[in-house]
Amino acid sequence: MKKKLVFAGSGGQGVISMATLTCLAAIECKWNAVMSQTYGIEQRGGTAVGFVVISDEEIGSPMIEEDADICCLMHPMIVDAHIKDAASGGIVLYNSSLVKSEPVRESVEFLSVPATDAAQELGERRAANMFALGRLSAETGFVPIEALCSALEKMLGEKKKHLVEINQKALRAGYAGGCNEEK
Amino acid sequence: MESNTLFMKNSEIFAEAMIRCGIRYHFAYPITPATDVMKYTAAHFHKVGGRMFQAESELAVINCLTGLAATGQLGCASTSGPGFDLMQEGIGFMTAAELPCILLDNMRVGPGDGDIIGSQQDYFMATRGGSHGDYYIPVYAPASGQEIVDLMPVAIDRAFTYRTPVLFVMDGVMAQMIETVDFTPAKETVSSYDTGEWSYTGAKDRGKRALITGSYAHSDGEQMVKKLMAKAEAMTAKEQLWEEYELEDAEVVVCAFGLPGRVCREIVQERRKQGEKIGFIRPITLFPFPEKVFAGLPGSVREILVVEMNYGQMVQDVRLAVNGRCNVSHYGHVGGDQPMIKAREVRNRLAALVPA
Repeated sequence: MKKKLVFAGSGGQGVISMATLTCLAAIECKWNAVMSQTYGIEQRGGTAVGFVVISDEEIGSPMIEEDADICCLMHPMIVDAHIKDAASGGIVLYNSSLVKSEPVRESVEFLSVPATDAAQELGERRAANMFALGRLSAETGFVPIEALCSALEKMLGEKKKHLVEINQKALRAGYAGGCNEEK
Repeated sequence: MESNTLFMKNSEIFAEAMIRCGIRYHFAYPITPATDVMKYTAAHFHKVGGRMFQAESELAVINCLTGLAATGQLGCASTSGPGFDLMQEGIGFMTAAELPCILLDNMRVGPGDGDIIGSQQDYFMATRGGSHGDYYIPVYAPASGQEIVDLMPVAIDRAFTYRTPVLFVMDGVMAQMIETVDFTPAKETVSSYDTGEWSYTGAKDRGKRALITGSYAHSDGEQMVKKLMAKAEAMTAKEQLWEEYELEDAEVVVCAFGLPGRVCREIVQERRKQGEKIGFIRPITLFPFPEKVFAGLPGSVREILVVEMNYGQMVQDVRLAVNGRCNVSHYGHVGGDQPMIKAREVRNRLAALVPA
């Protein structure tokens, strides 16, 4: 088993957290994980991209070269730059709350998820990243939802313990479908 | 930290491996892509009775390290190209004065201030000595966080055994990559080495005086250089490390070090499955260069492709090692938004060398 994933969005949306959590969840499953990232110099805004490779074997190349099994696009500003990261036959999840029209790309399966709206309904707009990740787990099984939930506690640690509940809620809501999705 | 399997940035893995192996002193001045090492040691060294000291420049860093080493303590300095330039005088001195230490150069694009993104352009400086004089120091080029951990006790042993600075090099991409690592091999070993014989330990109960110097007069100087050359010879005989794959019947061999080595290994494995006679060599020590694996290459090898994130440095050592027995070519570049050499580029290059 080897999976390559790209998480792209605007700085502050938590796409690097999505990538980190994916790796930590993979480690919960005793897999290996490699992550690299790019981001702008801005604290908020700018683009942020996390590249992840998870595998039950030793990981060779950490590079993603238009061969991502899963590409997660959280913001319209990065759609053009990163939709090409998906492999042919790959899955492209896009945050339809912000990416208003379905991106154009051949031979990929689109997953439209209104992550920001759904997270808003749960009471925390910033948990959109977790909602999307939960949904991705349900649709692709790239990592089990339970691994995500337990890795989340480790990722947030003692300092951010108070954030575990809402983020787990978003993960599980995303996993359960969470909202009335129109495809 | 209690757990042995962690998920960390490779620069942090380097720092944590130092802690676990018993290194307690780290000197540094901030520079991308090496600052993560000092950020980590600043937060964690004091918890184990150690210290991270941010000096006012890389010149100060290497001289702090020299002072520490003279007292018999093993310390570390981490930096990137422009800072490594500034440290060379001190590294030359430490080598001449036979002072052990651990150095890390997270390579970025040069020359000059260059660019902060990763490269492998410091190969010459690392292996040929950036300082003047005849000298060589052991150079390790890990390709993963795990290998950093595996090599740390080895590097510490060589630093004490040969009484020499030991250098780690990583490209800046690898330095900032985050991956799974098992710290089990990082055992505390530093305290097991006795440095009392040669170090400055104070005047109390002193039997003999230690003399540490990098200055020699005439015949002393010749003796010192001969001693350094004898060390280099011993290292060349005993310390070569490399990873090899499917060389027995190879016609084409891909050779790369560090992170590009990982990319190339994956390509070679994939081409082997398609029946192509391709082999792979990844030097782990850059000095001593693993000449032995090249000397042992079968006669079937007609071409070696050397892949580096530079415009042709290690390729010169490969040419020396094969001494004209087969063709040696180079593929590499630096810079760009994604500085790493892509698998696609290497595949294309191989397709030209191995016609289907």
